[in-house]
Amino acid sequence: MESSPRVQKGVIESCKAGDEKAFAEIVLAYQRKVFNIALRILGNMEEAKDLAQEVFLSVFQSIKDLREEAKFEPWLTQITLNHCRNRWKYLKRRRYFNSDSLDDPIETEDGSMPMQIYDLSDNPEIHAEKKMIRQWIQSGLLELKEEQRELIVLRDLQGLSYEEIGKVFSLPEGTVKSKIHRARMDLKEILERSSH
Amino acid sequence: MECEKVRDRFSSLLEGDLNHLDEKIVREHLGSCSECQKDFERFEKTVRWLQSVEEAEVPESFLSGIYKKMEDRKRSGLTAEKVRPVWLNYLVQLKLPIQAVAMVAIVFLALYLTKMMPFETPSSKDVEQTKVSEPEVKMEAKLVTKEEEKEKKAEAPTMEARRLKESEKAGVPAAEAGKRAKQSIAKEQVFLAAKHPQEIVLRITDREKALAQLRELVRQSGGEIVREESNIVLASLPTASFAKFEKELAGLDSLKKEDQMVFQREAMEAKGVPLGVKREEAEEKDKELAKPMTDKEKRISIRILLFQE
Repeated sequence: MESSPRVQKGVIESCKAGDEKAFAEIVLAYQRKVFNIALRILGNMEEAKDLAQEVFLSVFQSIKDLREEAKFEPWLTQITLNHCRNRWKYLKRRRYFNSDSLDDPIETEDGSMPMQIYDLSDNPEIHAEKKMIRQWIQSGLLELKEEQRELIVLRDLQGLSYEEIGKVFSLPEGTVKSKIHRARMDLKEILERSSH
Repeated sequence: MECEKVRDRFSSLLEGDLNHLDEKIVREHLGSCSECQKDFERFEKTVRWLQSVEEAEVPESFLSGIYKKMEDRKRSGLTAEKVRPVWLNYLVQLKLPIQAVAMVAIVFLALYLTKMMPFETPSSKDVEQTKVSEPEVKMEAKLVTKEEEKEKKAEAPTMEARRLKESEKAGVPAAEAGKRAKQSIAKEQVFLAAKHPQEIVLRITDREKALAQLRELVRQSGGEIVREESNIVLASLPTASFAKFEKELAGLDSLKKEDQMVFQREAMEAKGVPLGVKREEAEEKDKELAKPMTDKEKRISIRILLFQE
């Protein structure tokens, strides 16, 4: 089932006509989504902020080419993913992710500690460390293949339906389901491996 | 159900996508297989953790940052357009890749060069530069241009005869030698047509005497008289002996005055090379006579214009 659009059709039409107010409305409605997709795919706040801003600049420049206003959300997600892919390549070329490994200790406010979350899953103190788990999951995501990372972010972190994801990736729903399952299983393996 | 098939249904089981029967089979398997049960727990935990990751707050000044970037782009865009030439702006608008533009430029350059090379002849401007100021010489020059074509035609048979002789000496079969001679003559004709013949205007008092001396001089220089007309003598000389011939020809003049010899060396004057320098070069070429030369460079045609005082 598709989620209801966050902006009215008229706002998109006004933005197409170059109305900056309408554009600001779109930014405010979707900035959280775009920023969080970028954050989970790239794993860095600053990069995600910069990228999300670039996404909205692209939206403002090319929204006139959008034929159907109803398809604005998948279109915006596609733009975000494209920007993420380009930025990922750029950062990888500069070995940006080299130091980010699950084997490295996680930096917490209380200092560094080894990753043994799976084994210590019953420990309430560790569970309390939401931030740490988030970082651990984030590190696992970064070790996935690009498409798998995107699928998991859209499905499990953004809560998009299989149908919506299918539209973004131009894939049948069944294919999306099996791909997401494979991605989850791979993430489980990665996290498991890193916990030993 | 096999373990692998059960594991393939973990996502569907978790999301309640399995039909009643399938769910029952999978759950029964999980109850009996501790390995799959353990694996499913880990899977469930992973998905739960993923879904528990809260959304981060958008950093402050996000929207104002977008406006700032917009302004920066506009400013830099305007500057770039000012610096860029108009035609380049047009190309940028067309979104032509720079490689494609470069490729087209290279192709045009290559075509231009290959087309231009065969027609590389002195321009009319060059010809004008070589014109001598004296009216007499101008008249002679006109006569020369009228006779040019005829003389070129006359040159060819002489060359051909010489080449045939040479090939016979070398022991080459006559038919083959003839063929080669024809080929080399064709080459030479092209070369001579492309190269502007040397023209010398000689002022004389006694025509017969001057002609006799000229014939002798040509013979001494290893050349031959190709054609003789009332006031034009066409000779063919080895290129190397041209400088010497030129000097000797100056000595032929009965008045022995420097200004009575007018040499039209179009290529020389066009390039702005001083006469003396060119002569020195020619003398050096004399010394290099022993060096092997190509057929094209072997001979030079000289047109001597006789001007009776």
